[in-house]
Amino acid sequence: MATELEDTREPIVDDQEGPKASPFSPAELLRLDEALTMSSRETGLRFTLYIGELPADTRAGAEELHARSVGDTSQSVLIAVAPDQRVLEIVTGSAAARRLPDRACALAVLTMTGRFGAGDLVGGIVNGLRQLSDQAGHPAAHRPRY
Amino acid sequence: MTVVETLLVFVVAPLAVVLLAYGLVLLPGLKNRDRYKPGTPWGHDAVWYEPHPVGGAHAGGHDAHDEHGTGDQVAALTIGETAGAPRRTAAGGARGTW
Repeated sequence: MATELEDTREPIVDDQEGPKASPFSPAELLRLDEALTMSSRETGLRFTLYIGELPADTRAGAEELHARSVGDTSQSVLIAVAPDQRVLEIVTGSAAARRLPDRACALAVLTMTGRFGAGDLVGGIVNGLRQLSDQAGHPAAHRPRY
Repeated sequence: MTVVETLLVFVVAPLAVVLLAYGLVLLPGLKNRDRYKPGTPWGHDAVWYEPHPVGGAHAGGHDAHDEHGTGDQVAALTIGETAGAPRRTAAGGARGTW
C-alpha cells in the first residue's frame, strides 16, 4: 500500500506546500489542549489524542499505540482519529474501562463521528472528551464527602 | 434625472449591494480554507497530544513553554517500530467510522 502511495505522492506535494507540522490553528490547539487537560484533571484518567494514519487493522494499531503510551496505561484512554481512513478508535485501559464502559465509549464515538462527518474535527473531539469525562465522573479521592 | 444619476441609482447602487452581500458571505470562509473536509486527503504528519501534567507545565523542566502554550506534542512513533511486541493493555473502547 505504501509503495502505491509513493507514486501518487509527488504531484500532490508539488501543488501544495507539503505536510504541515500542526494541522490546527492556534485557537483550535488551545481548545484541544483545554479539553484534554481539563477532562484528564477532572476524571483522574489520562486522555491522549492521536491524529494520523493507523495501520489497515485500525483496532490493533490503536491498541498498540495505547500499549506504548507513557505513564499508567491502565488509567489511560486513547482517542485515535484517522482522517484519511475515516476511522475513530477509543481504547481504554483496564482501570479506565471500569469507569468508561464500552457503551459510554460508543455513545461518545457516535457524537464525535457525527461532527467529523460535517468536517468539524476539533468540535467533535472536544464534545467527545466532554461526554467521556462526564461519564467517568470524579475519582474517589476527589469526590466531595458529605 | 440625468443619465449619470440613473446609472448610479439603477446600476451602481444595486451592484454595490450585491457585492457587499457576496463579500460578507465569502470573506469568513477565506480564513479557514485548509480545514478538514471528509473524503479529502489529510496531508499532515501524525501527532499525539497529551494533557498537561497535574503539577503544572513547568514541572517537567522544558523551558520554552509559555503558560498559555498548547499541550505537549509528542512525535508519533511509527507503528511496529519496536522489536519486542508490547503487552496488550487495552481493556475496552469503541470504534466508529464516518
